[in-house]
Amino acid sequence: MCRATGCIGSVLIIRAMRGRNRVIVAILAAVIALACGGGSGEEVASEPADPVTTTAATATTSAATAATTAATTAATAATEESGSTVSEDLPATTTAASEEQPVEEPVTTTVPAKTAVTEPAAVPDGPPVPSVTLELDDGTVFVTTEATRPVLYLFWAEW
Amino acid sequence: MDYVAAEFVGEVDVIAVAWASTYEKTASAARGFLNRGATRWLLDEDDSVFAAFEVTYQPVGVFVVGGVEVKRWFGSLPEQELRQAFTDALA
Repeated sequence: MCRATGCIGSVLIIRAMRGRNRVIVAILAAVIALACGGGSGEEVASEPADPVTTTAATATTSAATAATTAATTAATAATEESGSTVSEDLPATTTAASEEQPVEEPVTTTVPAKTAVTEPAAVPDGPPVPSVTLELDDGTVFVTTEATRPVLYLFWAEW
Repeated sequence: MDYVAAEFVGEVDVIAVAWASTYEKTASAARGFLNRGATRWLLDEDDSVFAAFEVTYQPVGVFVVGGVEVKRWFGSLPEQELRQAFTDALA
């Protein structure tokens, strides 16, 4: 009953006004309607299409959104305040953590004066030894190309 | 020469290749000069070994390392140079 009366009254008032005042009145009407019956924008919107009524519903929604925004802002402000506290405490916490960590002793690295580089074995440069089988004085046979270690050949004569 | 070769027994093979003589004379000379057991010898009766090494006179020394000739010289090397040649061959 209250809601119906409020709505009718609001519509009549709104239709009698123009411009910005019309919107303000629409918001007030929506607040009154909510206070009377707890109506919602959806209920209003479900009524016959009336631009003004729709405007009032929209205004209601906007008011609710504004309230939500204000609450969110307040919450954000609170969060920021608490955040600043955390920020202020953070260095102290970090410092405390640093103090708890064991102090690392400086690492001493010894750099060798000369880098040990293993060079590949030098390949002898020269003509290959001819393949000759030698029958030696001690009865052994020596093949020149099968030698496993350095060999000195001495060419000589007894005279 | 033989006493220097004796210092490298087991590390360097030393083979004396003789020519232009008889086996008896060469063996006799070897007993006098190569008596430390460090140098083995042979008589190149047909000069085939001299020819294979392209040696046309004597005395000549040829060092072979890894199947490659690394040093050749004519005549007798001073003791220090000969010892150094052995050392270089083992390096």
